[in-house]
Amino acid sequence: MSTPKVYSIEITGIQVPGDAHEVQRHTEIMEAIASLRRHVQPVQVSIMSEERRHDLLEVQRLKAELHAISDAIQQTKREIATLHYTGAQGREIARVTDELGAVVVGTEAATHSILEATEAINDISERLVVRLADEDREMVCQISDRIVSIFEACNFQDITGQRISKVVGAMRFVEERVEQMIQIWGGLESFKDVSAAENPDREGDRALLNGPALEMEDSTSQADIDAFFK
Amino acid sequence: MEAYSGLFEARSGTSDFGPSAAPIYRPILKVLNVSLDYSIPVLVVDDYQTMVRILRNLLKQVGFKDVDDASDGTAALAKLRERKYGLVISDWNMEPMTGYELLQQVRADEQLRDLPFIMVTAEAKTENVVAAKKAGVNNYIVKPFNAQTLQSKIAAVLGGE
Repeated sequence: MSTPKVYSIEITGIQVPGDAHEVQRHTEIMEAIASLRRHVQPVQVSIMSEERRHDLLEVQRLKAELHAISDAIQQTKREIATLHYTGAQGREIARVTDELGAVVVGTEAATHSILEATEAINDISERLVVRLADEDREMVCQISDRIVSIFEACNFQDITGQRISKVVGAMRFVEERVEQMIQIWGGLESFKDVSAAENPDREGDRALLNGPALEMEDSTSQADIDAFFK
Repeated sequence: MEAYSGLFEARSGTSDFGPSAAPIYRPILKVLNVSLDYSIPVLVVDDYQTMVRILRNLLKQVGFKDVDDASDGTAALAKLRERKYGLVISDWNMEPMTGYELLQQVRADEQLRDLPFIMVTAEAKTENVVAAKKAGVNNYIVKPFNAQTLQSKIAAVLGGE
C-alpha cells in the first residue's frame, strides 16, 4: 500500500506571515491535520490487511484446489492410459474375451458330442424295444427315460452361451466408455506422456500358474510331454 | 384311460407308428382329453444349433418326426411361406429377426395367422410373457425346460386348450 501523501507545508512548517492570530490559527489547523493523520493511518492499514488477508487466503485455497484438480486429472489420465494400453486395447480384455469365446466353443463341441452319443443310444434302444418283451422291454423304456434326461440337461449350453454373450456385451460397453473418455481428454495424443501402471509380474512358482492355453497360444502336446519321460 | 390311449399304445409298440418306429416317452402328468396329430410338420426356430438338436430329439421322443429348423426369424418366415407347418417352436433372442418379431409377422399374415406358435426362451420376465401373449403366442416355455413341460404345452396348444 502506498504511503499517504505528505504535503510540503507539513514538512517545512512554513510560517505564515501575518499577525499572531493567524499564526496561531495556522498552527491549530496543522496540529488538527497531524492528529487526523495519526487516527486515519492505523485504521486504513488494518482494513487493507484484513481484506488482503482474506484475498490471500482465498487465493491460497483456490491454488490448493487447482493443485488437487490437477492431481486428480493426472491420476485419471494414468488410469485411463492403464485401461487403454493394458486393458481395453491391451492383453487383459483381449484375453478375457478370447477365454469366454473358448468357453462357448468348448461347451458347444462337448454338447454336440454328448448329443451324438445319446442319439446313437436312442436309435439302438428304439430298435431293441420292438425285439424285447416284458422285463427286458421295460428296461429299455427306462434307458429311454434316461436318454430324455440327457437331452434336457444339455439345455445348459444354450443358457451358458447366452450368459457369456451378456458378459462380452458388458465388456464391450466398458471398452467403448474408455474410448469416449480418451476422446474427452483430447484423444490418444494427449496421453502419450502419461505412463500406464504396470501389472506386477508374477514371481516364483506363481509364474507357472497359467491355466488352460487358448488355441492360438503355444502349448505342449501330449506326445511332446511323453517324449520328456522316455 | 382314453386320454392316454395314444400314449400307452405307443409305449407298448402297437400304435399306428408301427412296431419298427415306436416312440417311447414318459406319460404326461395332467390328464388331457386330446388326441394329437403327430404327423404335422414342426418348425423349430433357434440360432443355437445345440438347442435345435435338443428340441428335435425331444420332439422325436414325444412323437413328432417331421421337424424342420431355421436359425432366425427371417429364415423361418421364408420357410413358413414355402411349406404348411402345423406348429412353430421359436426362441426369442435371434438376429436379424427376433422370435417376437417373427410372431408378430406370423399373426399379421393372412395365411399364417392361425398357426400354433410356442415361444421357448430364456427371457423370463413378466413383461416378456405379457408382450408375447398380447402378440398372440399360444404358449410360453422358459429355458431350461424339461421334456414333460414341452410335451404338455404342445398338447395344450394342439389339443385346443
